[in-house]
Amino acid sequence: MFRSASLRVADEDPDYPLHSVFEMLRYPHASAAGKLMLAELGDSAVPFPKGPLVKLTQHTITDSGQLEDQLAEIRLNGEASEINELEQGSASLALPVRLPDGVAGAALCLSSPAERFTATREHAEAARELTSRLAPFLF
Amino acid sequence: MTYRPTHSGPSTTSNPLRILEIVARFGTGTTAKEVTDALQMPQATAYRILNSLVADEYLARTSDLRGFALGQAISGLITAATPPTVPTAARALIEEFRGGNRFAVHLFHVSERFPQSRR
Repeated sequence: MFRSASLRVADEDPDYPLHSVFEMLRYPHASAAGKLMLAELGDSAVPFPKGPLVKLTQHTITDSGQLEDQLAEIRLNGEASEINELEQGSASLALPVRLPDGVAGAALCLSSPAERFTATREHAEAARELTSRLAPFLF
Repeated sequence: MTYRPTHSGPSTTSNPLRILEIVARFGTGTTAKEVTDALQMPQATAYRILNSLVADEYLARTSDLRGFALGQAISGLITAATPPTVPTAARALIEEFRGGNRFAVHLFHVSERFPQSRR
């Protein structure tokens, strides 16, 4: 018997509401937080999304080998990103908020228009620091 | 809330749910006999459903093997039915980080879901 996991919106930015919430929660292979979740839980005990990987944009990863490679990279770097993969024109970076045992219990997600993503990424370190400060309050 | 022979009702899933409700109500250690008595369900039917609920982790056997308790899979259902809560202090930290930045900052919970059906 294996388990899977799901994402749930815990705190949405009131100034920049989420666009593709349904797609995000339903197709984790296409979002930064979703890929982070798949990577974090990605050992042999956790099933991959069932069925074909749905193509939401022309940039969505639909090849499972390519997705596996990216998940391995995410595990290595401790962060996940997507550019134009969930929604054309937008990009996101997701960082894990870790439980005391090291497992990601939450994901902090920075999203912006794709053309501003380089500038958004410059806040990654500050965001990572925030995840360490958030952890004791969340878990 | 009593046993419904599955051939007479529109739903075939209602009996397992009734059993879960009984175990939730009676608490950890509910026995098969208590279930059959409460639902006036044939023993063989109750055992069959109890075993399948245990296999799917909706129920767990208590350590003395005499009774049943709600299983891990139920916690996944509860999680899915309850909106995530974020403590005020955490919200304040996120809000402070958002301040003035030209990008969105969202927090997602990663929650374990109930077991997938075995095929």
